[in-house]
Amino acid sequence: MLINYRNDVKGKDELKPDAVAGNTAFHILTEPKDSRRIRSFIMDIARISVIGKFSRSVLIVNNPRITLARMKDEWTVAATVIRAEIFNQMVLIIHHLGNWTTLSGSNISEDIPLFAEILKNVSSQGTGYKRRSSAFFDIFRILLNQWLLKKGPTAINKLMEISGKSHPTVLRSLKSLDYFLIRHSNRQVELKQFPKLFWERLVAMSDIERSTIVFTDKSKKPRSPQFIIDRIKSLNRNDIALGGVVGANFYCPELDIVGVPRLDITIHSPNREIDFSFIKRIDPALQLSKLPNEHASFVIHSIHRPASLFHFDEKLNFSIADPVECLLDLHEARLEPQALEFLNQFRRVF
Amino acid sequence: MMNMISPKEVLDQISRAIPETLHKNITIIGSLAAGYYFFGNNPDLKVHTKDVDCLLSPQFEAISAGREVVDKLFTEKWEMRSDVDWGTPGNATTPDNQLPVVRLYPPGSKDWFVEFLTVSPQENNARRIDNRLETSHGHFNLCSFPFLALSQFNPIKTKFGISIARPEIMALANLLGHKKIGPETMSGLISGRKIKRSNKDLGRVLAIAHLSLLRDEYALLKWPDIWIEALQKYYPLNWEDLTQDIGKGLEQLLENPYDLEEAHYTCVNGLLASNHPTLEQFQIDGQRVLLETIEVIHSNSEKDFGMGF
Repeated sequence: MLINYRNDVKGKDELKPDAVAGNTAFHILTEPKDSRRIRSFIMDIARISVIGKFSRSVLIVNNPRITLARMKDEWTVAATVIRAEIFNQMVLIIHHLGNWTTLSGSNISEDIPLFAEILKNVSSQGTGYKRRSSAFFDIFRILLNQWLLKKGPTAINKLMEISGKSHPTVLRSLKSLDYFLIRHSNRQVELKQFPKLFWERLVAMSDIERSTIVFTDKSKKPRSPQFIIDRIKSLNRNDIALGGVVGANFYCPELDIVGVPRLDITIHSPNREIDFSFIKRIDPALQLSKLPNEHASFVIHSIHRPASLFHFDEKLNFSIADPVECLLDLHEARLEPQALEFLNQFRRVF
Repeated sequence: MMNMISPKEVLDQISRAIPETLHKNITIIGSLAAGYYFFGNNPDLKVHTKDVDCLLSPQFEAISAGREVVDKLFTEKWEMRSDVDWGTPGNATTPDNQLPVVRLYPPGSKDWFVEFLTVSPQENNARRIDNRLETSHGHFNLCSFPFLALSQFNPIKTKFGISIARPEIMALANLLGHKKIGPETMSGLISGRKIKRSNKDLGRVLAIAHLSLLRDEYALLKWPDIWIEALQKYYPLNWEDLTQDIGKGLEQLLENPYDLEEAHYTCVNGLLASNHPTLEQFQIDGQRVLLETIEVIHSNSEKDFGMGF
């Protein structure tokens, strides 16, 4: 579906939605800390809905800093003050640490890839708060991967090829990383050290950058990660790689992690179109997680660059995500000590 | 009214009452067999049931073995279940279809009763067949129902000498027996409710799946091969056609919340009384059965037919 972002949408600035897809307007509110912000944005989407004559207006609240109950209160009050025919077109979506939920109770599973795509792009354009661009983190992740694997310098052309970014975009990203770079005379670059500051920023944005989607097991008997891996293998897909603890253990077998608390996979999707219906073919018990405190059984991350950087392992007969993705998976799973150990061991092993 | 009974104690009592030479002719089927398979070793776990179904086989020995067993049980003071219609034995003039089924209470107890059935002639999968069983205590009906023959497939011999049917085979028989959710209801109430027979039997499939998965997460993936082997053995002429029917009723059950709730109700008041999955978990068991067994069977059949078999 074609998505138009704020700059492409006609109209007065204050009445422009952050994105439009079909006849639906999207507005993003990131990390609201009080009810007033929620209230204000609800009114904004009501106005956008009326003035823009959209059939649906979606407010995506990203990583809210207030409770779900307070957001529900605001939504309930809004229902009493906004005309029903307008309010019925409005949807409040909450994205929190990879979990997507809605207050309306409707099934949003099929729309999540669209929400994730819009959230990622709107966030990268700086709406709501300042941050590094998505393109920067794409280049950063590639350089970090080369550094972890001790692959030596990478040509700028190669960076463009792997990332799918233009020459100016790559140069702009490299400029931001200048302090951490060794620039070689033949237009090649490499990291000279681990850029902790940028890494921490990436970790903070990891779930948005990678369009993380969390699934929880709703059965009485959750399947083991090995079972899920076997099922994924049976799908015969080469665009999926194992990550998380499994991936980290592949690169560093000495890593001190007992068991696999959750299974992380990465999907390579250069065209940004992911059909999640395959999850039901893995195990019908896996359902989209709706609450942040639900146990994550199965987690999907996406990468959209042209080169997957997956490593096919003959023994496993399956692909493993690159070490940067595995490291980010560990952070997202709150396995911080293991992430640190992985990083330290990785540099020793490779 | 159903009681909580110990599968182990019941099997022990039946085995002791039946001559050892006839143990080979007896296969216990139904919830008691499933209960013994899944928690026979745990004396605290019991099954909520009242009837213990005994299958007499092979077909050519069923009548003679049945006569010997029933006479022996009457001699041992087992009592005919008299609190229902047809509570007295028939005689030579009673038409076959009006003969009572053999239902006997053990001496001194009305907690459960044993009911005798037999297997159908090969390839019969459409109707009930009445077989006259003449004993010293009168004439009875040793019925056979479609797909009961499958229960003879690799039965599991218990330490008491008699065998129990394999749970996954009982699941197959129930799936084949209900190509759709029919309107027929059980003759008695199940925990106070009138229940459709299809919902009870297909619910049993999900209960078996649920308990199997608690033991082995790969269990369902192993069922298709076992099912095909059993179908080829007992239905050599039309096993391929039968595979096409597997799961049609279950799909309907999962699509209808009322039928699914009824199936869930029978299970949590029966085989899953000690386990108690939620309705959502029960539904997931059903979806897993569809995905991991039935879809596999169907897709394998399509491949085979596509190759010109």
